[in-house]
Amino acid sequence: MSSHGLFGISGEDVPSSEQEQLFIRKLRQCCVAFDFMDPVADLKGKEIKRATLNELVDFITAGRGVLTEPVYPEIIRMISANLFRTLPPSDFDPEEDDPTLEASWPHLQLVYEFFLRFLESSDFQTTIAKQVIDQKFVLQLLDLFDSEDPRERHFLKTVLHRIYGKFPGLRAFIRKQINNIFLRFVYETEHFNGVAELLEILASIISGFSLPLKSEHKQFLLKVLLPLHKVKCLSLYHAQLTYCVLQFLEKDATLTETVVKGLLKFWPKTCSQKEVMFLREIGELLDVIEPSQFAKIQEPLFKQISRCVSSPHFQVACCALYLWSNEYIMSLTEENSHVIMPIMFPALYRISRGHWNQTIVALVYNVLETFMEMNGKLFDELTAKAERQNV
Amino acid sequence: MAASDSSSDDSLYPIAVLIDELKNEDVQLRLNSIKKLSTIALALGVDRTRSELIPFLTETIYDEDEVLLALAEQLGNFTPLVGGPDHVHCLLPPLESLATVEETVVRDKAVDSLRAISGQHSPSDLEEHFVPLVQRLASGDWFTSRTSACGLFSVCYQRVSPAVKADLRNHFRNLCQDDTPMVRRAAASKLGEFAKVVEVEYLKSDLIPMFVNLAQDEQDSVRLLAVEACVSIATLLQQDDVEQLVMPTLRQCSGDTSWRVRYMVADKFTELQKAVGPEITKSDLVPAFQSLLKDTEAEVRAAAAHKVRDFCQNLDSYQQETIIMTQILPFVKELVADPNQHVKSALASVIMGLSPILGKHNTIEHLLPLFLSQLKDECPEVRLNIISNLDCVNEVIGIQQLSQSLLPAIVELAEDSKWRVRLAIIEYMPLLAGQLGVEFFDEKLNLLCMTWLVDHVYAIREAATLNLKKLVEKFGPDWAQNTVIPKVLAMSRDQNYLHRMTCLFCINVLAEACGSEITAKLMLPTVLTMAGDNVANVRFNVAKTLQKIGPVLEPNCIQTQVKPVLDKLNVDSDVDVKYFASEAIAGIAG
Repeated sequence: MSSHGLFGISGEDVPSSEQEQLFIRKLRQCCVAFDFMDPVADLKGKEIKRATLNELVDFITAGRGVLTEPVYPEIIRMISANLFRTLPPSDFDPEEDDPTLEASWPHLQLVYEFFLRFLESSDFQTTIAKQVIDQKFVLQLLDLFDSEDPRERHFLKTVLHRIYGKFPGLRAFIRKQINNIFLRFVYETEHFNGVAELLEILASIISGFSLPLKSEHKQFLLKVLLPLHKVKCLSLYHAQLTYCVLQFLEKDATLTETVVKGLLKFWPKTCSQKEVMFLREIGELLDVIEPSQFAKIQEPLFKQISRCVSSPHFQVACCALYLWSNEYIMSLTEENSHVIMPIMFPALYRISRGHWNQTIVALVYNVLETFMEMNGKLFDELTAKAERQNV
Repeated sequence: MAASDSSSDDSLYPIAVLIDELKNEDVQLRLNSIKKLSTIALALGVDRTRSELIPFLTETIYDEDEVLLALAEQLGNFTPLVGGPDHVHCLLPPLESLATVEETVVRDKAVDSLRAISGQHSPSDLEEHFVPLVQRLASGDWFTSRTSACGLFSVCYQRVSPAVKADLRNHFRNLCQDDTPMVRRAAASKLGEFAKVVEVEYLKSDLIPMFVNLAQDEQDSVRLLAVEACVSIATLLQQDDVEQLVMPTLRQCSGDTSWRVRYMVADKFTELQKAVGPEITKSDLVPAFQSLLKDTEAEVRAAAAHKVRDFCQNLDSYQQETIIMTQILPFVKELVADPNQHVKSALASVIMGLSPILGKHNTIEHLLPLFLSQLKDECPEVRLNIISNLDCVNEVIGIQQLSQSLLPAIVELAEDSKWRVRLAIIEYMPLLAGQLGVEFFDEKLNLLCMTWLVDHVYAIREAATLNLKKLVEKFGPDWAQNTVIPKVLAMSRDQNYLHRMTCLFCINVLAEACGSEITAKLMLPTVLTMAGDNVANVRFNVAKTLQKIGPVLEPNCIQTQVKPVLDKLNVDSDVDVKYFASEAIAGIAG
């Protein structure tokens, strides 16, 4: 008994010549949708579909030569019928609420599994598939990234990644549509559940960019990735966003100035939680920055850091002061002490004289001490100046 | 800054000051100087404003969005400062820049300002300056400028030459077919206002195809905006044209696969009804309404339910009743038992409005069962919505029919565990009392009102006190004397000090309604007794109450009865009691 063949209705093994027909028939059966909002409706039908989907997953995983040309459109039809739907109305706040999970997940999950195995199959032929996996299909797939269910988004992420990899002809389209999604998110709605997942895919796309970077990609950094920092719910995807930005800088370090200027432009004014995120991003950026680039951005950057150090919010001040716990940043500061110390000194001096939070005072003292060791003469001049102004 | 000073002295002074201020680190200072731009322009005079200030602003536009926003706003009012309508076009370059900025609020404001000054351009200036601006924006390579362009077509179209009009229509068509959905959305949302200014023949030949395309866009966010445009377009066309050119698309939209589009149709339904006219309403909108009332998505059903009364009211009077009874009511009946509470609630807020349209017989036979059913709904909001709309029914059949079922419903709401529900029903009580009459009220609802006075939530006690005042205003002081006041006064002996205080709050509001005699004879003695309460809060509220009811009492009474008590409270051991007593003494004396 072949354990990888399709079973007929009677449960018996079917000769492979008829397998294609049976495959297609079962795919078509699975196009029927069931109502999962009613938990007791049609339990038998739901079970049969679940079993059939399982069968199809096994069949496609291990079967050889099962992906014949006629089955491609049938597969896409089954997948479309199950996945493509207008997402229901929702007042989900991702920062506060628990997501409402997809009711039909018992079936959807298997459809996604099947889809993945299909794409990853050793029999998969892009030349045939590209007739049915077209722009319209991909667009509907992208819309699904707004699903509240994180399990669905996880699958979508892998699916889209595979499609991007296998269909070079669709890549520009995919990038453009992701742009549109992000732009709408930033400028119109500030709501989209799949930003983090899309950014994860983009990170690997960016790492694959060839040099020199095309202007399309640079524009993407400037006009899409940087504005993504503006949105209120940044915490949901900041890690992935930072990673993308750093990937860009790894590819082309001359973009540093653009990035830092952009971050300074969008610097949070009232949201301390976001300010802390921005400081962390700056920290990661400075960790890998080239000294020549550092020199270009140090003045405006440290003016902002000076303001952060003075923040009444202790986490912001703390995060800013911790920058100097990084040895590389310390060494860059030392190399450019004649620029940085005059900018930072007034704020540090003021705080050293009194701040409500003792930890901050302690950190400030540490930094001042380091400054003194770096450039004692300048330190003394600045101290004298500050004392004169204080009196 | 006097104009004469600066023009005779350093002739660059105002601009130099501005340049300096705009370089300041503090964004607040930069913002302030932009807001005073008109002062600088006045100082410069119109010539130099045109030749120096405006170019300066155009070239140095890079700043925080806040500053740019202020600038965009200022420029919209700058026409007189550049020398009037003859020169208004020189404001276009800086505004064009601002209209391409990333930040949405800035470019929206720039577009607003451009729209505002467009009317001040002469037709030749429009063609020479304004329209080229629109064309440049419409061909810009980043979506922001193309989006801004969409809002500028309707304001310049009417006064330009036919050739330019054709060009504008072409550009608009391109925007409707733009690659980026953001631009298509902007175009779709402006299509309606553009249609209003375009000649009818071009509306039909050029704009309708754009409308049809947008209504079939692959993005539902674009399609739903086409529904809005539909209303405007239909209003502008003759009936046959509406049937031929608009209805096919509208039918499509009401059956769209995306619930968001169908929702939009439901939301705009009464406007659509007015736009398409009575005949098409009967042939097309009634079936569409039916399908929306049965939609699979609750949001759509709720939106449609909200429109039931207005839709029925606006039906042509010929056959109105028949249509409602045979084609709408069956669907409405289904909604009464809808699984979703928002749908039922939406229906409950309008369903009573059908009563005047259908008349007494139909109301009793067909609507009354529905009202009663919703009056017993498990969701309190549904019940509340019915109760709050009783006046429509009262006009038609009188409230007696409902009163049997009404009472249990009111009692249940009045005892709901959620205090906001209790609060809502209290607010309807005066209205109900008026409609049901004093006997019914005394028998059934009086006890309820008193119970509210001792609710454990303060907001309820407060509302109940106010409620009492309104009832007394409605039923009169005699009624108050017999029914309410004895019970209020009884609260003064309650063990719970909060209830004793509530007694005082009631007296505060009842005194004026009841008048001098009742207040002095019945209520004052109790107040004075409470001056000896052992809880300080009660005592200082006595002082406050005495001050409040003072104006209602006779001077003699105040002298002989009130003042002595206040004097005693004025030397109370508690500092708050002393304070309020002294306030009261001063208040009464004055």
